[in-house]
Amino acid sequence: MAIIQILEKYYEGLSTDVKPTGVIAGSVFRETNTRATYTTYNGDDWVVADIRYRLVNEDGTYVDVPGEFETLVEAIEALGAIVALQATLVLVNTAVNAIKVKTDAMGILTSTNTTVTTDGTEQTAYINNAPSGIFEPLAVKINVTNHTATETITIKEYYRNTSGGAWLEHDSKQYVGAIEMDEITVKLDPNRYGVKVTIKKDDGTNRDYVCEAIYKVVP
Amino acid sequence: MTIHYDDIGINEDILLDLPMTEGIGTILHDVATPARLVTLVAAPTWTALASGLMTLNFDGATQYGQCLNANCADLKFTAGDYSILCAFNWASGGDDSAIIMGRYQLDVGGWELYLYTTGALTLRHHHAGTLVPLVTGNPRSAAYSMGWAYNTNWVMGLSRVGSDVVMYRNGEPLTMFASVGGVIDPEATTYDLVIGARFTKDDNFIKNMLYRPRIIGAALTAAQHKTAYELIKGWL
Repeated sequence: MAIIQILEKYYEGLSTDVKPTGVIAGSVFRETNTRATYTTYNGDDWVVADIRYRLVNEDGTYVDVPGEFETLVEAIEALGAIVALQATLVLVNTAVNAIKVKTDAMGILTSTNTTVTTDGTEQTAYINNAPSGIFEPLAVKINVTNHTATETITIKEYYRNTSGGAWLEHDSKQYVGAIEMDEITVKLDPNRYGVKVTIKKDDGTNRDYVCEAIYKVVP
Repeated sequence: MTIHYDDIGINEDILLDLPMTEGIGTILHDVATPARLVTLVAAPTWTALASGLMTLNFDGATQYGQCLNANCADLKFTAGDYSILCAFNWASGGDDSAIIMGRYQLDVGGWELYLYTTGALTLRHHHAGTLVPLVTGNPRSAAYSMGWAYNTNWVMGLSRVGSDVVMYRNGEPLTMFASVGGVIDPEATTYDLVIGARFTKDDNFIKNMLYRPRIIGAALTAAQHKTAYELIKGWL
């Protein structure tokens, strides 16, 4: 195949063709069998051209994408596909952001654990003194396997219903002597300003009570 | 739908997590699986930020937190990767060197993370005698980053990967400076975990705010550090 001059500064031919000399500096030579593109900086010597397509956003920012296309129509079609894809990604991004707003606000199911060794005073088994948002405590589970027939304990549940307000006793239960089960569960209510569960030994020997608190919290 | 604590990527290998939800008292409850207790000494002040997020404020002179050696033996990191996360806002006027947290004995064993007045944040490993290769006789190896200015809320993260350490500020990786040979595995220590003070608990106190120290027994990825920042940033 002979070299064909398509435009003033644009030539096409095969990779086996000897590239023309004496042409206008800046001309482009396209190898139709390899798709490689060359350019000449002096009209005689040819170097591989670094072809990039600049995708310009509406706000003026842009990204240069390397690429080789057989024809200008093919390049435009590819660019059209990319633009369409970008539009789709904008919609996807909007949807992801909307989902993220919801998931970021979801409480994470969490637990912690402590051991209360009773001493005759009212002791805290679990407390959140000032939740950072509407708080969802679920339960405090108290292991009473160390508790014997000679002990008496009182478990109390408190909430605040105003910021920095007084603790309001919500529930109280006294266990006298042996407890049939190995574990007591104190179920808790949603809360905004503070929640705590306490244990107090009323009679008997000081014992260890392992307490697990389970709650949902953000973040 | 319920999001489970242990299913969140950054929590998969978590060893210590102190979210400071108590808001009162002298005990910090760990919500990671070990559920250890950290005791506050000299009563640092519970302080809620404008967002309602509860944090601790240290006086830079006497206040710190500690977890006794018996309850934190797994935080030795004498081998393997690990990560640390927390948020802080430190202030001038205290000790030049301010410990964020550490479990170490100087020039013997363990690790420490500390700030210096130059704005440097350093993770330092301690070594017994001449155990550090390349720099014979050096009892410490370390890596640090710069730009930790006073009076600014920072979300800090680091991942120790082999002899490398990468630190993250507000979710972005930082330029690191390290000892010759990198950060070498520290020797063992039997000292307590300290938060906000030197291993001897009498110096290098941090001054101002500290929030949610976390230690993970694996190297968090850059994406996970970014996620950790994204989850906190709206509250600081």
